[in-house]
Amino acid sequence: MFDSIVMRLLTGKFLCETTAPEAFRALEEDAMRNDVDAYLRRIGRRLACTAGGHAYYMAYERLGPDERAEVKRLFSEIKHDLRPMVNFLKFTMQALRNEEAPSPGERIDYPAILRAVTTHPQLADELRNFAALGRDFTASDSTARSMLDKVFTQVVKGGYLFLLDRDREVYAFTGKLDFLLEAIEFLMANEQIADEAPDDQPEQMRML
Amino acid sequence: MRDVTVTLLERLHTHRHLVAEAYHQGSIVRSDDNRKAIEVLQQQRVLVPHTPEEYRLHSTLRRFLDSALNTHRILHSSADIGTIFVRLEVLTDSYIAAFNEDNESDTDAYEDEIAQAVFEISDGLQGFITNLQANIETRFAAVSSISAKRKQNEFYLDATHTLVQVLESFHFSDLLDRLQAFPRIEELLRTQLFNRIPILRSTLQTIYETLRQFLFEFRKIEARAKRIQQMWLFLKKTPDYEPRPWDNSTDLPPWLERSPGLVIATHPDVSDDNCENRLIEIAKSIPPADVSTRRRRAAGRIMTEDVPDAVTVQVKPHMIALRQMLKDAKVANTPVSARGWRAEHATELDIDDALWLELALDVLAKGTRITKGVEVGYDELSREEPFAGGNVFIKDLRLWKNA
Repeated sequence: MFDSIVMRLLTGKFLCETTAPEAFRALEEDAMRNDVDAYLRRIGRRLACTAGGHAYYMAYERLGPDERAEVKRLFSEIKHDLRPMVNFLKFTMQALRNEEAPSPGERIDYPAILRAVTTHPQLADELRNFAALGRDFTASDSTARSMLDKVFTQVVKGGYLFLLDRDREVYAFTGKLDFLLEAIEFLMANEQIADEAPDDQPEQMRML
Repeated sequence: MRDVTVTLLERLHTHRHLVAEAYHQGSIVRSDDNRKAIEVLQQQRVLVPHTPEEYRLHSTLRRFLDSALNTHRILHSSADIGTIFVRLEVLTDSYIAAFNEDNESDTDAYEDEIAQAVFEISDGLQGFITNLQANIETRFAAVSSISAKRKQNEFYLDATHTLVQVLESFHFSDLLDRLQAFPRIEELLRTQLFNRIPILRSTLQTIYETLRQFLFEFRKIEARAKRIQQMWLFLKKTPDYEPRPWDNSTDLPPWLERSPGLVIATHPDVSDDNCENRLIEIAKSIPPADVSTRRRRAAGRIMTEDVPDAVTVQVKPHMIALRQMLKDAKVANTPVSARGWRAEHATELDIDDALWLELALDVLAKGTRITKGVEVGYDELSREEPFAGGNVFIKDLRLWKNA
């Protein structure tokens, strides 16, 4: 298990209950965690865990000029993912009429979301709005299925969703979501974003 | 007593649909159809009045059904168990008093009641724990909203805490000491309750800790949902929002210290004996290459061939005439009539005008080099007879050079 964990971490993967359940559970053990961390430290890296404890990943042990370039690249990746992912989280909450924020491991039933989109014009509008985020989110035609497919494909590609069951089209959020939420919470706390009351938003959520 | 039990069970069976309805709907409304059945069940203390026209199941039967059907309606179990503990204390006192008064019938009756209370507590505790564990496993799946989950969680947290306290106070009570002189009851209490208390208490303590963790998580999820909505709203109102350059900060947030993946490639060490068997296995598993044997063609040799005989192409006279007509049409100032041209220049041809026109049309339709640059006009004649087939009859062709 040790080699499998280390190889996954070295290739930049997040280890979570959704994508690598056995590896994740093994890392919940102190001894394994210490072993992996000690190994990574020998190559200037360390084992890190997301704030919510839903995923493990590899982090730098020290930051020099070379690492700074990678930090910039990572920050730009997060900035790139920020708006689509916040929209997607809000969209799924609306579609599933759920006041809970999606968490890593939570299952997403694609057919249920598609049904909600075809039933509620408001949601269909929200789905169409994804196209404004760029070509990656623009579907080849304007059917709900095609638009939703495009959005799901991008979120899966970003590593935030994982296809659990191809036949039943069931997905699950990965531990990377925890990582993104950590970044979002940091930005909200440090850029004074959290002051607005969510109740200001239109009635759409309640109407659904 | 046995007959009474049988009668009760028979009545329950007879009115099973009514009982089930009362259980699942909470109550039943009295009507002309069920009036008699309700009276019977009320006499048996199965149904009790709820409102003047409504009846509900007696709480004892409802609890039994909850437990038997493993439903999650155990909200009041902990309070009930606490009450039974109190009752057990009272019964024990009454039993000792009856024994001291040498009242045998009362002593027997109290002994039965004590046994019943002990079993009720034991079953109740087990039921409470089983149901609560099921709820924990599904994270209160019976309710969908996070606020309802949190409320249920808070309730069970409180109930579990109360039960742990009840068990503790019971454990340290002098009940067993007081019953030392009554080995049968003392044995019952010891085996059914006191010996199990440490395990039950430990299980409840674990449940309590889990519920506390859940509560923490539920609160966190609620807060997170709020923040996502706030962020979504903010991004919607601020389309040009760009986070500050946190990547330049000297004190980076932990999530920005993530290292990207390394490109890793490995190669087998063919000189390592340990790898030999595995490498053989791999080699065997590789299908043989599709080798194509290319045959070399033998070198050729120069051969002398006879010069072929000259062939004179015979052009038919009508074809020569048609070509000439087309040539003339290209240089003529006025359109050339096909029939006129033939009458003038090709009288020697042994064909009539109809065939001449047909041959001309055929050449024009093929669109060869000689027809290039020639325009065609048709002198048509359509029959207006009653049985005309719709065909157009061409009388003549006019040919001229196109512009």
